[in-house]
Amino acid sequence: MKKNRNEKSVRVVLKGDIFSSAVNFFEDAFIIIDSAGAVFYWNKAAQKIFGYQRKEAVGKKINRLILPRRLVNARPIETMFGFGRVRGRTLKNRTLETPAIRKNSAKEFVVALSVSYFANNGKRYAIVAAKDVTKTKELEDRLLKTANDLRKFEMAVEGASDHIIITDPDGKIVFANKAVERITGYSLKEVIGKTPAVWGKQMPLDFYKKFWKTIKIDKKVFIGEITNRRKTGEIYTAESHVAPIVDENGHIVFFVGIERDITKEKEIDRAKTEFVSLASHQLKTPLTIISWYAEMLTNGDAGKLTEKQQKYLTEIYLADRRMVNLINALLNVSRIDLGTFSIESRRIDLKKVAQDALKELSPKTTEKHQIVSLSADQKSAKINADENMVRIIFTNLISNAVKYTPANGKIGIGIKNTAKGTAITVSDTGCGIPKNQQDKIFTKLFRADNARAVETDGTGLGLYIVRSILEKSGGKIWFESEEGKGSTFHVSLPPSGMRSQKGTKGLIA
Amino acid sequence: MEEKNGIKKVLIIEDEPAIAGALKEKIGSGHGTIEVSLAANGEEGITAALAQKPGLILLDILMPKMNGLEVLKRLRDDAWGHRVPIIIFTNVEADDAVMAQIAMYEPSYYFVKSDWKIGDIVDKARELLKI
Repeated sequence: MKKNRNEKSVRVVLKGDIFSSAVNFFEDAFIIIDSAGAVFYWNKAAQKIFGYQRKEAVGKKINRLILPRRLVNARPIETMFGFGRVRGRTLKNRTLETPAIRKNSAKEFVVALSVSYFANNGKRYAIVAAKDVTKTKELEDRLLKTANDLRKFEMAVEGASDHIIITDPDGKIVFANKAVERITGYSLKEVIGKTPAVWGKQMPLDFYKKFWKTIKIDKKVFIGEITNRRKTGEIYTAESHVAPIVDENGHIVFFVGIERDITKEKEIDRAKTEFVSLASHQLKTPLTIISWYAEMLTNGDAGKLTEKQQKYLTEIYLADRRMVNLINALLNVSRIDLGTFSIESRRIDLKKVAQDALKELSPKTTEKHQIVSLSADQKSAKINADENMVRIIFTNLISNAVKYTPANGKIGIGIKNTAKGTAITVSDTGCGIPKNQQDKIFTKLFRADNARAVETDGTGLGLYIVRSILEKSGGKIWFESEEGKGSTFHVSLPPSGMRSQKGTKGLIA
Repeated sequence: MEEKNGIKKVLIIEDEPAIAGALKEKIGSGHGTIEVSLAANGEEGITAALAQKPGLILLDILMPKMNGLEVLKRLRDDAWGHRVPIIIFTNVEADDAVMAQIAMYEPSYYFVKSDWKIGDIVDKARELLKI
């Protein structure tokens, strides 16, 4: 009886209008439990957070309502809320964070519980304020992760082997990593607040004008090779990438500059070039000897030959030519890959070069009874181009057509000049290029399966060389092809002709 | 050009005996009286050239002791040598810069050996000798 009265008096308090509406207004769950953990009061927010209606919750043990099943036995009421240890009236407030679940759900979330205690008529109660802190928790985790990531980035940038700097829009260095010290030889103290001119200033003025125009006015990434000077005075070559970082209004916030010291690579490149030209010399000398002596024998310089001897010598001679052509192609590829080849554009007669190429191939076309036509309007005859390169283009495209077109097939060469530039076509009625290999046809060393079947002799370098020339000189190449029917290769050059390029060597035609 | 009894002199400066031998054989044979002498490197070549004063010099570029470019330069600096016809022939694909230098000393022809038939080189030689 006495017990009932006590509970009633608590309930009276809780039913008071002001209290109830206030408590129901809370965004946090507001729960009162007795010392056995049974729910005594359960506000609206508690319904929202844990999914149980007040009716369902009242009288139930709080740990069974809100804890995931795995924790119910591990967290008895005494350890969760500490009623057991409370002495007299000195009840301490406490807070704890725990995983929790909603009604009919196994999905866990995190709640923060603030607990305070009171006693009424000798009975102890706990007021539990519970807040879903999953979001806060997530945010915290995310912040922590971001901080960790940032730290990682910082360490990565700091320790990267490439030289990395950040400058303000005026080029003043605000950050430099360790590689900057290592590569330039200047300490961070000596460079922060200065501009990269500390180690730069080795290039012609025009270079820097173009550089600043690219990154500051055009707001584009600058990529280029640049000569710098270490603190010791030593000159070095760097590959430089400088990117402007712009805000949403398009204003430059800062520049990020990355440089890689490529002095060693440059040296290796030079050594490679030297090796290639030396090796080609060593290879070509014996090939020259073979061809010259074969020629002298064929010529009857050492006495008259039988027909069979003539035939054998011709084979030797042709094989020797093949080797020379292969070496020349390899030399061209090495120059293309090093990017060191020069293009010398001057007024040339396209038609004449095409005719020369055809003349050289005429023994083959005659042998195969191929019908060859060359159409060129007089106007297109003269354009600005590198004669050697044009010869390489014609020789490769036409010799491919001859090679891969069967006997009695047709080969057509067209040269046309329009306002848009010069258009060259080389078409054939040959074996064509299989559809699934068409995208690889300009790849170095690639030969289509049917091409291999038709002709074993072929380097897979010709079209690669042709495309490289056109890419470097401002031209284009593309084709249409159907297997078994033939191919048409199109070459276009801009109205200005081929773009000249400075380099160490031209290509071998 | 020193020419006695209609004999024309040709000097081949080339370190590769098989190449030099073939050229000597081809140029020396046929009609006309041509005396061909050989020098196996640049140093021997310049000495022989200045002593013999041939009517034509065939000059290789890559050679031991003294390279062909140096020989060319010295010949062109010489009162006699600055007008002698010289055919340069080599298997080295020279840099544009080296080619420009060679062109500066005005050789009569520049051949890449492996690209040419020996017959064509001999024809050019005979043309220069006015045979």
